[in-house]
Amino acid sequence: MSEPLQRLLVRLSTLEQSQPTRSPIDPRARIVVCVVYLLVMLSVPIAKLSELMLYALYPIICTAEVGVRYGAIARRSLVVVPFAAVIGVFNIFYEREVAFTIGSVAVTRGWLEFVAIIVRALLSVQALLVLVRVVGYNRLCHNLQRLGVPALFVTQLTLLYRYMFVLAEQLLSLVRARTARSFGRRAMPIGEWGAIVGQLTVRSIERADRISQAMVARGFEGRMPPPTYADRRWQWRDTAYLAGWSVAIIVCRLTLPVERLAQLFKSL
Amino acid sequence: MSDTLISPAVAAVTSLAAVALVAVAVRRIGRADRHATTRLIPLMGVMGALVFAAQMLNFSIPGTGSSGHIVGGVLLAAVLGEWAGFLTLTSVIVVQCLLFADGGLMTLGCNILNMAALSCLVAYPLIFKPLVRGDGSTARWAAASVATSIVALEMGAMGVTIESELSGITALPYGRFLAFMLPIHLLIGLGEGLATAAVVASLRRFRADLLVDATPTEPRPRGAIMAATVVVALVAATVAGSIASTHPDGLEWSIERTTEGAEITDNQTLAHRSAAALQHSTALMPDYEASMAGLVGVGATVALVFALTMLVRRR
Repeated sequence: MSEPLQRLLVRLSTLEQSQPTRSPIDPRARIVVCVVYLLVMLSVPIAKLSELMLYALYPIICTAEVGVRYGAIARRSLVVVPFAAVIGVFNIFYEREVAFTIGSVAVTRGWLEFVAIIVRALLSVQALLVLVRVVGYNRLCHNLQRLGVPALFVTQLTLLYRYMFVLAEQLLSLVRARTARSFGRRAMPIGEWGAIVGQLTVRSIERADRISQAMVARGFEGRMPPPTYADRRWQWRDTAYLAGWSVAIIVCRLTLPVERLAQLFKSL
Repeated sequence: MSDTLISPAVAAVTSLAAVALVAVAVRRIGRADRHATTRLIPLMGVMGALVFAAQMLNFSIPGTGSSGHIVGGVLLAAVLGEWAGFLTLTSVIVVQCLLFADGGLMTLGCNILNMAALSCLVAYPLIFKPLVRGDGSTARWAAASVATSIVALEMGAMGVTIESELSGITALPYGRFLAFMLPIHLLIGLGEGLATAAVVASLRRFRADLLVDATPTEPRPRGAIMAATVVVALVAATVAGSIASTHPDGLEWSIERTTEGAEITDNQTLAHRSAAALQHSTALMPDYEASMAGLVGVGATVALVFALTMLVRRR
């Protein structure tokens, strides 16, 4: 268990430190566009799989715009597929009406909806992954505060992220000690688990007390201070980015361009 | 719960509710005196990170060969109190969504309500607190942890089912979804409860002062009995509901087999039919799905018993 955890944390911290530099847009504009995208994309009926596919353009264009590989984002988003498949599989059994036939193979509506549920899951995760990848976790939290999220909650989000690394290290050393003494027994009985987590809790709380005293001594008043980098002011191009994407996404939803195109081809 | 299950309307409503609860929590914590806040905030950060760390360490589930991890709602509430626990678990859910692609931005509201609000703001004050009442025995604390976790998880599972059905993405009917979710979450809740009990036991041994409820208070036996009744009733309803939901299906299937699709109503007697009609007219939910009906039935029974005890007490 320790190696995957270590790998995960290392990857997280490298991601945080290697923000793509080509990102001239205000993070607040990106957050709002992401929310608009998710709301509109999720409002597409699952019967309209073809329309839904169009929304894959957003994460693809976003990654290209900031110079992040789409493949990496897509690969990470695959983690949701098992969950979505478990949920979607019921639609296969309940919706047995034939939607269309390819040769002699009949495709039912259930199968289309099954695919649509997986696509929705993938796209919503990808949009979020792109946002976090471009903006970075700490900057995202700070900009959430600028968008009106209470300072106390943002402080909690930032502290949680920082302590995560500290506690993971402590946990790793506890687990290593346990592994060294358990002679190859991998399964951890619940009593042993409770003792380890309880120890970790006590140690962490004592540590938190020391840290909070140190923080208070340095002038901490219960809220995270603003970051050291200066906030960019809102510019015209941020407005253009926000308006452009929002209009494009909403128009796509209202006009159903894929269906119209299909009808056009049929009528030719 | 994942974004794919949800419709924008349900997302909007649940998000608003979650935002309101977070605002209340922030206000309540912010209103506490400055000294308490400066200590509480780093503690919240550490406890949130601890839930993460604990989630990465799996324990083995006895007899099954599989392993599980903890959600941590009851544990957080036991160390931090209701509102700080709620806010901390909410932040854990947000970080899981942002960094680990677990859940989604649109389902944040649902997940906060199902996991954080129901465990820290409903199950913890209504069941855990009355059950431990000050410094109870270790067994009592363990029982309280298990009972609270089971109720929290079952309520959360119901929340997921209701929100999914309202969204209308899955084709699974409500009753079947519930019959599928509740037994699974009964087991998950049991695991969660035992894990919470193990950590709480260890905390009580080393630093009992860290637990909010470790300070002795006035005993409230009535609350404890009520809470225990609700727990037992919920568990019973789940088990009974899941059995009941599979049984009639099997029955219908076998009837269909034996009668070869013929209408069975033909050979019903008049008395049988009038009895059925009477039952139909008196039942509030004639065509119910079994598990849902079980839960509603138990809820109504508990409410009735509660009302009766109130009446008796007035005399």
